Amino acid sequence: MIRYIAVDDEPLALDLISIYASRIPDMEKVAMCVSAQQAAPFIENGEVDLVILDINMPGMSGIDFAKSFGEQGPCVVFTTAYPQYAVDGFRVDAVDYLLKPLSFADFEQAMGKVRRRLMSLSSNGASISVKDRGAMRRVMVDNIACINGLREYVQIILRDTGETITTLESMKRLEDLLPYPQFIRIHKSHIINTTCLERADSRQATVCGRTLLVGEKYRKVFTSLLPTFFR
Amino acid sequence: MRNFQPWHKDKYARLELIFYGVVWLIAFLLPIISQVIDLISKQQEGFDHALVERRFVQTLPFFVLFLLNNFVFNPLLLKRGKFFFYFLSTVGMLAALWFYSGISKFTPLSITQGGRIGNIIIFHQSSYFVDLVRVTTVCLGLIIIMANEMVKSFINSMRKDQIMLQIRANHTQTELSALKYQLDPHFLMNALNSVQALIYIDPERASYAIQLLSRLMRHLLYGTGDSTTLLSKEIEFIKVLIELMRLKYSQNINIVTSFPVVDNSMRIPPRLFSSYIENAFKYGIGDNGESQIEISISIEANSLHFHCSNKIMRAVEESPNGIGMKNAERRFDLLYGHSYRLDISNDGTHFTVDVVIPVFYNGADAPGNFNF
Repeated sequence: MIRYIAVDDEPLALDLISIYASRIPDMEKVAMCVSAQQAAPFIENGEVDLVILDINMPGMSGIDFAKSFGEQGPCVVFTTAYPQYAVDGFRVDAVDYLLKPLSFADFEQAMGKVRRRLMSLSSNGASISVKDRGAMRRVMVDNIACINGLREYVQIILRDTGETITTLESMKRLEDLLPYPQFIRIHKSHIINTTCLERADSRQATVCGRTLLVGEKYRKVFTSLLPTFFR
Repeated sequence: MRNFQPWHKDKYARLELIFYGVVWLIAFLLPIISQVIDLISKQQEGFDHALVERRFVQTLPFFVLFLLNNFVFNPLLLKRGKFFFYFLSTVGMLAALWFYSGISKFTPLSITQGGRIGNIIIFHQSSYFVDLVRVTTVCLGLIIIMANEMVKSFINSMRKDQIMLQIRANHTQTELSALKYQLDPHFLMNALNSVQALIYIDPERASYAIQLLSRLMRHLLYGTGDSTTLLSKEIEFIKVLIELMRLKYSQNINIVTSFPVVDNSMRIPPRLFSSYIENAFKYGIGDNGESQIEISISIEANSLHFHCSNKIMRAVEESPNGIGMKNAERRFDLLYGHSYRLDISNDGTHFTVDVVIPVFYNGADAPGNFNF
C-alpha cells in the first residue's frame, strides 16, 4: 500500500484529498495534518511513502518543508493554487505538482507516477535481516522472489538460487518493511516481488516459476496495479 | 519642447497670440488715443493727421520685425536649432531697421510714445542726432525680439508645468488603480477547491458556497470601474468575504461582526479593508485553541471607523505587513493625504487594525477623481 499523509492548512482541502485517495485501492491514510510541524514526526519515523503537500501554508511553506526531508525521504506531491511555484517544486524532486482545484483524474495520474517512483527507488542495495536456523542472515531485498506465510512462520524464496529460508516473522511486518510497490501482498499468505512477475491475471500470479493464488481481499488492488507491473 | 497641436486647439498658443494682438493694438492706437485725450483736454486745436501718420510709420517697422521673428524666423530657424542662421536673420533685420530709420519721415520724432517729447527734439537734425535715433531704433528692435522670445519661453514653461501636473495626476491615478485590492487568484482557486470537497461531503453547503462565490465575483467583476462604491454594497462584500473564510476553515472560530445600517448616499472607495480581513483570517486561525476575530464598521458624523482584530494563532512570517496591507496603506495616502488615521498594533497576542476615513456622500467630490 502507498502509505500517505496530506498536509494543508485548509481542512476542506484535506477532506478532498482523503476522498480522492479513498477511491484508489492501494492508498493507505496515515494522517491528515494542518501544518508542517504536525506532519514532521511521521516523516522522521519513516512511516510514510508519500506526502501530499500544500505549498502556501502559514508558518512553514510546503517547499521548505520538503527540502528538510533529505535523501531517504518520502515521495512528495505538491498541491497548490499557485502555478508559479512549479519550478521550485520540481527542484526539490517532487513527483508531481497538482493545481487546485484538484481533479480526480490528475490525482490518479499523480499516484501512478508515485508508484513508478517508489518502484525505481525501492530496492537499490537494500537488505533485510532474518533469523535462519539460529543465525542472523542478511538477504538482499532484490533477491527475494516471494514470501509465503505458514502460520507463525514465513518462507522466503530467493530469486537467484531458488533457496527457501524459513523464519519466524509476521507477514504484516514484512509487508510494511519491504518497499511498495515492488513488493505487494496478493494473498493472506503471499507477498510477491513484482519485478519477478512472469505472468498474472486477476486470479493468479506466476513468480519465478511458482504460480500463486490472488486472494479475494487483494484482488482489486492487484488488478488495478497490473498495468504498472507490465509496462 | 515641440508642440504638435494646432494653435487653435492649444490654449497656450491662443493665449500667446491674444497677448501679442493686444500689445500691438495698443501700440498702434496709442497716438490716436493721445490725440483724442489732448483734444478733450483742449491742449490742442484740431486733429493732427500728420503726427498720427508719422507715429504709424514709426511703429510699422517694429511690427514687421515682430511678425518676421514670431512667424518666420522663430519657428523655421530657432525652433529647429539653426541658431547661426537665426542669428544672421536677426542681424539682417536689425540692419534693415538701421537703414529704414534713416528715412526722413522716421527720424524727427522720438521712438517712444508721447508727442511732446518729439516736439522738443524736432529742431535738432544733426547727423549725430540721426545716428542716435538709429542706435535707439536698433536697440528697441532688439528689445522687441528679446521680449518676443521671453514671452514664448514663459508661455512654454507654463505649458510644461501644466503637462507635468497632468502627468503627475495620471501617475497617481495609475498607481491608485494598481493598488486597488485585487482578489488573490490563489484565494479563488482555494475556494473552488473547498467547493469541490464540499460537493462530496455536503452538497447543500457546496451549493451555498457557489452562491457566495458568485456574489463575490459579481462584486469584483462588475463593480470595479468607479472610484467609489456604495458603502452598503461594500459591507455586503465584506460579509460575503467573511462567510467564505468561515466556510474554508471549519475549525472553531469565534467571529464577531458589527455593521451599521447605512442609507444609499454614503460612498467609499471599493475594497479598502479586504486585505486586513484576509490577514485576520490567515493568522487568526490556528491548529489549536479557539480563534477570535472581530470585524466592525461604524459611522460617526462624517467619518467611518473600521476595526479588525484577531487573536494571533499562527506565528507571523518574516514580513508582518503583507504586500496587500502595504498597498492598502499607500492607497490611503494617495486617497486621503493626511485626513485619515491608521493604527496597526500587535501586542503579541492580538493583532489590531483601526482605520478612520472620511465618508463621501452622493454628488460630493470623491477622492481619486482628477479632473482637468
